[in-house]
Amino acid sequence: MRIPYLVILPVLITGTSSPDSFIPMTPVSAECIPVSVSVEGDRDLVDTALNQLIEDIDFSGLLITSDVGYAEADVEVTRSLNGIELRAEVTSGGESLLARNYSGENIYSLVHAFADDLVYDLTGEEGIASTWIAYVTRTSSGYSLSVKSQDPRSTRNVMSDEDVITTPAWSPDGDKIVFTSFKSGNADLWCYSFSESRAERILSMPGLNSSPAWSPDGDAIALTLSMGGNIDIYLLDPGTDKTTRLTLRGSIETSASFSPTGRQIVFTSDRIGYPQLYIMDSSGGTAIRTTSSHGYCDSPSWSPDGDRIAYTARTGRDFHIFVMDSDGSNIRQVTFQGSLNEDPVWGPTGRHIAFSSDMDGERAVYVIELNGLTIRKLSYGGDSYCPTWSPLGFR
Amino acid sequence: MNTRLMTISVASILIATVMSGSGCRPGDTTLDGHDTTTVIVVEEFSDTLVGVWDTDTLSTSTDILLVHQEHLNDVFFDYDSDALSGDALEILMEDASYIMETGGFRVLLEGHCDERGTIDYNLALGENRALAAYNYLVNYGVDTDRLEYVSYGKERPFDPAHNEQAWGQNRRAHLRVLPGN
Repeated sequence: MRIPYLVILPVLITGTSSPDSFIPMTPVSAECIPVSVSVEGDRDLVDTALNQLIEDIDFSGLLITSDVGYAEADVEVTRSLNGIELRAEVTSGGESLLARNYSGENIYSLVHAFADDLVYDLTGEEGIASTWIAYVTRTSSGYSLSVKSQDPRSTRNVMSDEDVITTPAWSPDGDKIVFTSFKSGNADLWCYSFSESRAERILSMPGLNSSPAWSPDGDAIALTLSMGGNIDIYLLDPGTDKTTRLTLRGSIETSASFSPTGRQIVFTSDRIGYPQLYIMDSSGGTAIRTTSSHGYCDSPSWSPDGDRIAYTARTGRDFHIFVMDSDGSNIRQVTFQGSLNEDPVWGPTGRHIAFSSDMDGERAVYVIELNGLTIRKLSYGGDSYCPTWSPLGFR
Repeated sequence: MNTRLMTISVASILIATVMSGSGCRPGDTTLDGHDTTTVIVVEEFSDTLVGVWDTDTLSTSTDILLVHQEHLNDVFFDYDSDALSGDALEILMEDASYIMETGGFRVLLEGHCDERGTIDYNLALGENRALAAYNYLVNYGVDTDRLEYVSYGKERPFDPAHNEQAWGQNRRAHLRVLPGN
């Protein structure tokens, strides 16, 4: 008689939530205001304009294109002597809501401007279609910091070098991006200015000058320094170049992000042996641990409305983007594909998150819209990561 | 019309703080149907976006430096660790001897990490790896004037592949020969 070969599978009995399974972020699914769209005009502009307008509307998380909508947007795009003109009229039930003309050189920019105005006029909330996202790209020849608009236009190089460029952060006034460059052989902090088309080295302490984060008023930059052998968070006054130490520990303290009031900083520390997120006053002092469900968290980013923090955490062997309330509760997993999703940054209205992911193979920058959880790929070609988002009104 | 009010109020509940000082918007069209046309000029970036670096750093390397480079071996680390293993200590001991016995160059210790984990934390971990190797060499007797250390985190991997072998290659303290004394 053959004795059946018994295979006993150990069953892990867990509580209501096992350590490695999290509640997926659910779409907010607020009803979007339906808008029907029509575009007429010059044949070489119409398709581009229509497609981009539909994209911008559908990605807003507030409006949605529909055959029959609450509002009807009629757009005409024509070439003129000066460039391109976009005439838009929005009506609802025959009643005119807005009529506006836009003129400029690029059809995508005009569409974005109108789409944002449409969102604003129908909801009172700012649209993000005109905003840009900067990120780092690595190729075999080196590293570049480039900026990308939210349309098919190719990315535009801002700084390039053979050696590493990393952790960029866009200033609240939109004119500057600070970033770390290894050009001198040390990990220095540099500041690129759009108005001057120039990058200037602003801090070169021995060791790391990295992971910068602007205070919301633009008056201070929190960053990581490793001078003296301790990796801690400091505050830099870009006007005087003075640094103030905020954390004083033998462990790793890094990856600071200001709350929108500027009064608090969330950051990463491995003081208990593995990296977790902590919150302290932006003047330093006692830090309160805010994460306890992950074995490894990093890269926190505080939402512009102050009530949520996005971050990266390891689950199993993968890294995914999570969002929690700023008191650490209500943890929701945002990404499920790929094995390395990191660097989350919020869009300026808190309705979108940009992040890097290897979900398609090579690392690329993606944007997710949180009302419907649509994910859009932003970068194409090259290993791209470390997104940072421009403020509103940047064009 | 009730649906309209409901969708707008639902949307309003979700409104994030509207950032002030953003692009100006002429207030001449409103939802009550006031009808005017205005022309908004949408400006583009200037064509010259590309920035210039404010300082210039030149690096030179000569053949003799390449010879020294060949004599110095890197040390490798376990995942998430900056601890020097027995093998690592032996390698560093030989490196230290060579550095002390041979003059005419300096050494930059680069700390590197594999691609897993986040950029920020890995910059810090790389720093700790470089520092671990640096401290060993200094304790052995190497003159601190001849040593520097830097972290590259996971930013400049030796092997860009996405597998265990590549990862093992990338978790290292790399000794790079620099000109000078």
